[in-house]
Amino acid sequence: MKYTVFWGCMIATVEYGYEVSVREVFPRLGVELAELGWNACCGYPLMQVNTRVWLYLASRILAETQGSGHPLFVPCNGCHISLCEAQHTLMKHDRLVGWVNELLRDEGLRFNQSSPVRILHTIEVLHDEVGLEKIRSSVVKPFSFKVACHYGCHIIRPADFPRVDDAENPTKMEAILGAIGAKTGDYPERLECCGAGANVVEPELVARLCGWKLKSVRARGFDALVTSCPACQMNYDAKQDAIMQVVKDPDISFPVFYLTQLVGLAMGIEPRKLGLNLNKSPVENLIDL
Amino acid sequence: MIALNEADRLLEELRQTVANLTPLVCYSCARCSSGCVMTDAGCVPHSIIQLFRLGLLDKVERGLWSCCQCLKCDVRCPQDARPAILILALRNLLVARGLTPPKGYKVMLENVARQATIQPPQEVMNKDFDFVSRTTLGLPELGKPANMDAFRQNLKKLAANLLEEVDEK
Repeated sequence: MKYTVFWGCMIATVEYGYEVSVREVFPRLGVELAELGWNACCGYPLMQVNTRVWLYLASRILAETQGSGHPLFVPCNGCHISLCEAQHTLMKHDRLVGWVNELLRDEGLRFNQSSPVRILHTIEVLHDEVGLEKIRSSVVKPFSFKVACHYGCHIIRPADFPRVDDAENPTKMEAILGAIGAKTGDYPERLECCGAGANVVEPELVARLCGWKLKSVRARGFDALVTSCPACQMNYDAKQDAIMQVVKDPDISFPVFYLTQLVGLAMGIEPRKLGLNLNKSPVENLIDL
Repeated sequence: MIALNEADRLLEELRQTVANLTPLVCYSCARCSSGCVMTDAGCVPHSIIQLFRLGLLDKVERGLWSCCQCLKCDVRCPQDARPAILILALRNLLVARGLTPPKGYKVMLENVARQATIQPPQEVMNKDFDFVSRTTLGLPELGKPANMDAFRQNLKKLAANLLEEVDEK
């Protein structure tokens, strides 16, 4: 299994724990990663002010991936929806392909409508491609804690083009965690947004939103929260101190992991090699760093 | 440039589609707003649809930028009225008409035009209070698009109104 990887702005510039853990875990599961050769914005946040900018930025990445000949692995939820939606749009509207290719020509790129790119998120690579059996057989230290899954919005919505899992009842992340021995469970706030899209205008409200979920998850008897998106992880993990300042409640302090960090721990990989000393939340409550 | 006008025309078509369909099919069941996490900030999707239907764009503006685009309303609407897409289209429309968007969006776009990503790789502090970077973590340098001039020119073609302060080089 070989994929071209697109990291995007958040993972490659600040949320290093995701990149580090993917690079440790994937090769041990037979997944080989080829670099795209450059990193540039996928366009998703800019779609809000200019959809043309979004379509241009996303199409460049699709065009470059077509040249690589491999499927595209996209670990960030935001980049994943951006590229899937851009390709969905280009496959539907021939005239937009002509328009975008005129822009891409100056960069020596071209989107070819006859060879759409397979785009896969972390959850899809682990669940659909590697498979639960292979994950299960690679486990040497079963993870015994009870963890709450946070899917993030953009890998399960919207409904008009294929997404990673069901919009109202996703199960793949729980299945992966089950394969490494972790206990999971449903909870009422499971599909609630972390609010990252509103950080630009409503940072305080977003902090309250994140605090509410962290507190609920703890009260419902979970030991940790698990994410698979750098924006969600940043909101729940890196911003925990800021959340506590806004909601003035020490109960917010709660371990938050990347899915790939937990898979790596179960495979017996040393915590620091999985970037766990980069998590801001108290992951040391559950594991020896 | 003909192709750009063509895209403008297509986007106008899209806006028309949203404008024609969304208000007509919505019967204000408020399922969108009942699941919305941003109502405290004035983002009330079914009321945005109604205000849009009444042509009260100035009143729409208040909650418009608080939507976090989680798309829950889009998935749950029994009429497929797509409130989140209407919000997206309205944001685009207002910016195209000269409204200054919240500062963060402009800064992000300027940064992308300058260096291709929203921010350059940062140094972050680990739990030992050491600052680490991509280099110290052993992560490869990812690089920028080969032709940054063409990249920047393209962005300026598409969003000249938001990139006045970004130099050619």
